[in-house]
This record gives sequence, C-alpha cells and structure tokens, in this order.
Amino acid sequence: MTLCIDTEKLVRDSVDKSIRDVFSMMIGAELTKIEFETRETSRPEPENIEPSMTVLVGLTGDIQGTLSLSMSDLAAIAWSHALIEHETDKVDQTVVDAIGELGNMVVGGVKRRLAGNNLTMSLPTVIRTSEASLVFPTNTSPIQVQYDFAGYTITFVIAMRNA
Amino acid sequence: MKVLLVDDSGVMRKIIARALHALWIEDVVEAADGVEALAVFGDGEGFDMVLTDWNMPNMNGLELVTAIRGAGHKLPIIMVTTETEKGQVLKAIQAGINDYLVKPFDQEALIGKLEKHLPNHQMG
Repeated sequence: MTLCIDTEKLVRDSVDKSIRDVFSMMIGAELTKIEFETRETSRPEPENIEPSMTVLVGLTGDIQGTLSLSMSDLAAIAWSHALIEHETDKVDQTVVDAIGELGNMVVGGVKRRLAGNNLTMSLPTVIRTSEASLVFPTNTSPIQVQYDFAGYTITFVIAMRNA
Repeated sequence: MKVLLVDDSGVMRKIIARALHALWIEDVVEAADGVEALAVFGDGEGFDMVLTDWNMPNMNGLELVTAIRGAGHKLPIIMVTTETEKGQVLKAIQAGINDYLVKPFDQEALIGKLEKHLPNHQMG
C-alpha cells in the first residue's frame, strides 16, 4: 500500500524541513530546492555517472520504507569539510562517517516531525553509488526532491508506504 | 573546565568538541559508548559536565546516566540526541539528565545549554 496523499505531503514537508534544518544549523548553508518529482521505481542508468555516494536510512512503524540521500563524491567532501573542516581530496572513512551522520540527522528530524506514527529508525548505511542506480519495489511510490548545495546537487528519495 | 563527551559517531564528537573549544573549554575527554565513558570517568574527579548521545552500542546514554547517578555524582548531564519522543524524554529525565539538546543544533543552542548549567564558566 503506497502512502495516502495527506501522509505523502506530510512526509515530503518533513523531509524538506529536516534537510534544510540540518544544513542551516550544522554548517550555516541555506539549500535551494531545484526539483520535486514522482519517480519511476526503476529507470535506465545513465552513462558517465559521476562517482557518488548514497546514505540509506530505514523507518518502520505505521508508515515504513527507506529514505536515501545521494550526492557526488565532491559534494560529500564539501559537506565533510563544512561540517568538521576535514581536509581531503578523495572519499575516506571520515567523509563516509560525515555522510552517515548527515543521513542520521536528517532522518532523525523526519522521525521527530512524524511523531505519532510509532517510528523506529535504522542505522544509516552508506553505499558508493549514485541515486540513478537506486531501484525500488513496485509497492512503493518513490518521490524525489533535489537541492542545490554550493553548486552540487543533492538528491533525496523517499520510498515509503503505509504499513 | 573538564567535559566528558560521549557519542558513537566520531564525526558528532568532532562537531561538539569543536564547539566546546570555541567556548574555551579545552579539556574534553571523548568516549564512543557508555562502557568506555564509565572507564574514563572513573570516580568522576575533575569532571564538570557530561554530554552524551542516547543511542550507542554496548551501553546506551540512558544506562550511562543511570550508572553515573547511581554512583551519587551530581554534575550536570546533557543528553544530545535525535530522540525526542515524549515517553523517551521522560525516561531520560527520570534517569537524571539535567537537560536535552536535539540534533541538529546550532552553536547558539549549545552555548545556551552550557551557560545554563556551567554558570561560572566564562564563555569565549
């Protein structure tokens, strides 16, 4: 069962507020929303994908599914530098941990905003892939929201359904 | 001024430690979970405050707070976490925390909590 329209809007708004809060409070960056779309569950993978990272966090409760946040390696490095002044020109364990913490804080904010849905959050999992490589089961209706962060695109995919 | 900072995320410890250093709190002892925290805390001598996460492996923040209070220590303990469900907050208060800081937080919020619980410390 996919999300009902009211819940979908609530989840979308929660995601939007949470991601903006995290960037604004933690590194003083105001995100610009680029695009919102309902996404196909799977689609052809484009050629020449930039090296990228995705953090996945699961939520279970009255609604359940996965929230993912994807960005290029360069964006991930920029985030970790802005967050803890980490100096590197390639993805290392600290960058991976910083992306994991980003997922943890954003989805923690979503969970807080959706209080009353008995939600439990998983630990974040970071994978070395782009959002273009993510595919979803047909019983979810993924929603994709993109933001601009310092010239880099950050893609948030919400793949949730009612329990 | 000596602070025990407990979080399983090394990144979060860096964020908070950096904020503490900016407030002229240089003596920050870090631990990655409750077990490690109790080991470095010892008899609590010299510590002025504990900042702890909730969800951690081995021993979580709630268990850590219970252990510290159970040993009779009165120093301020602030829980720094994404957990904000009312029932959970109540549990933490009953365990003996003095305050709560929700992640994400900005520097102002952290300063506010420190000023409240360390009134004699000169903030930078």
